[in-house]
Amino acid sequence: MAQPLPVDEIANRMQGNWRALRPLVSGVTQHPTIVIGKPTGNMLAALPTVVRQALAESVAPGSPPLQVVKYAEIVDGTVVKLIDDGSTIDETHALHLVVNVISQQGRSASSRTYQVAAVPTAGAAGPAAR
Amino acid sequence: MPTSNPLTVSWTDASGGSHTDHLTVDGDPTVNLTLPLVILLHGTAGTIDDMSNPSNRGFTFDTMTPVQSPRDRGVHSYPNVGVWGFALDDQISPPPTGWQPFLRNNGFMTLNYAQIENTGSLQNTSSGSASDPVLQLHAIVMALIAAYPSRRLAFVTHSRGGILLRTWLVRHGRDAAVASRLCTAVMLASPNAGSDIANVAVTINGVTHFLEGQIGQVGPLQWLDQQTGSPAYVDYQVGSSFLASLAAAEPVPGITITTFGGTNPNITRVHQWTFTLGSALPNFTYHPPFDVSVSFHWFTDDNPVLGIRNLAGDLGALGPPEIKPGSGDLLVSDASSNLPFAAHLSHPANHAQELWDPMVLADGLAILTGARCGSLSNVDGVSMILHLPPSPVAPGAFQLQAQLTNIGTTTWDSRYTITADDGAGHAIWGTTVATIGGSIPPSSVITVATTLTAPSTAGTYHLRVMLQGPSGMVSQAASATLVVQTQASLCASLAQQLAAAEVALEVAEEELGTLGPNGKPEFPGAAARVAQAKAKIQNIQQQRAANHCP
Repeated sequence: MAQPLPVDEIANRMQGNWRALRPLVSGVTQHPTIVIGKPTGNMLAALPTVVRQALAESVAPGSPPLQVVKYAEIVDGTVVKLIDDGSTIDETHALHLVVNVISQQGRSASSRTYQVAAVPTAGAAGPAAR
Repeated sequence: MPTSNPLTVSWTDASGGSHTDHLTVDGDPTVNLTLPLVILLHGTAGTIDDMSNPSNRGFTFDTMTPVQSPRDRGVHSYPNVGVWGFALDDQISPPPTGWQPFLRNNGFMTLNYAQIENTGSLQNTSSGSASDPVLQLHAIVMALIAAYPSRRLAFVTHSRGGILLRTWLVRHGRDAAVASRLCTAVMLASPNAGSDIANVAVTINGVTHFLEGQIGQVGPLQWLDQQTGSPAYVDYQVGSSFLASLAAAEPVPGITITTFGGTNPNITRVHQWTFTLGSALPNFTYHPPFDVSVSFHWFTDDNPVLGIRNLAGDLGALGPPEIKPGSGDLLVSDASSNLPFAAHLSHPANHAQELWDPMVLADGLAILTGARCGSLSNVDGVSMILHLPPSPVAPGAFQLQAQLTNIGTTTWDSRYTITADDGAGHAIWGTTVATIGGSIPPSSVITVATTLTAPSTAGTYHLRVMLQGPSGMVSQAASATLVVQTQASLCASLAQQLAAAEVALEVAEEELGTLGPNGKPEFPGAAARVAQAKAKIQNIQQQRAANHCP
């Protein structure tokens, strides 16, 4: 079996990614191609289906719903969408998620990668980083 | 002097068809005249690369170096998961040295024979057809004898090459012109007592065909397919009548044979390289003032294929001795590579590894050098082969047989005598002189038996045997080195060998009587191993008697 990456290393990678994006978020409107925004109330519903499914599968039944605080969408290695509330993630209860969709048509392949950081709604304990 | 010497070989097949081959003899013919010219005979489906550049065949797998895992597969713009690919072990780097360059570097002349019909059955070749490798080999040997009158001939054979040599020896090894030139042979991994190749094929073909489905036809797997599917293997089945017919006509006198057997069936490890989890995780890098790039760094882990790490070894415990770790080399078991009249060495090598493994090469070199084949002298007009007792010998009397061929133009008579010294004129082997009886015309062969006396002090001594004629003519056609051991220590050594052989016989007899769940013999080849053990015991007992061991 493939050796799993240590949990700490996965968390560091995810956290490091958000740190790398912070200057971009603070620059906001100047970026020519990346759609940058703040989370909204119905943002969860607006996420791609695969991401919503992955989030749902990551929460134990009966647990409080998640609040997405950061979202990045990468198409073929390029960031196309970035949503960030600008907060510092509470790593104690945060969920980090990466969903990859790799598709092939004929001889061409493409990939979409979604990285999400979510925390339980206020006051509730949620899953640890995974 | 030239290291590449042309040799033209002409021969006629049974149908009257004429053939001419243009071959090359490698090495400097003007130096190292006491070293034999070595004929290299490759195995089934082999080429001259087997003996010269085995890495060209693609089976020089590096099975020993620990595999680096995880392995870096580079940085990419997209993620990856699952299986990266299937692979066999890397090839040894730098490419290992094969027998021909190895022997060249050690001063030997060699001829690397690319056999015709290299997968065909040898037992059907007696018709002398145009595709008869035995007929062609004989023509080559005769051409070498004519072209290099000072050289004795030795052989290094691999797998089927050993069976080819045995077949040729049975047919032609007793011919006077040939017998006077033979010296020694190193026989690598030959299925002398047969190979249970059918069972081997069943066991490993499933794995090899699965791998071929994944990674396509690759050289080493094709090679294995050829080995297990070759028509030649009808010759090598355990209990084959062909092998029995060879054994019945052996040993052929005048040539000492050392068999090498392998005990490592692992020709390669198999690898299923699987992406690590990290290969699917993005790495964001910020580029001021407001850009960001994303990359995925791929790594793969090494995993077995279907739980199989070694192509054959993991299955070997269930299979025949050919693929059982410690007893076979994948295609031939160590025991069945042995010949009852030959010395035998085992190496932890697989079937292909016998072609380049440094330890195997070093042992082969020691045998080829230590055989003391000696040079021949046309001026002296005699070619001499010594039949020595097994070394070491005890102090005191021992029998020496010298087979002499008159290759000159003068008839020998009773005025010709045989004498022995230490090479410097000292009669350390006694003063016995043997006389040639009768009249020995040119091209005739005579065997002279005489009794020599080994020195009373243990040590290593040089023996020079000479033919002395009238008018002061002295030939020094043969020499050897003998180790003299005290009788007590020699007898102790023989007792140890006898005990080991008796244990081997006991094990083989037990295997012979064991039936598997299907009612068939559980240990194919056990009958041959019983016969070999008995022959070895008989040989040791003869040595004990000859040395007056209690």
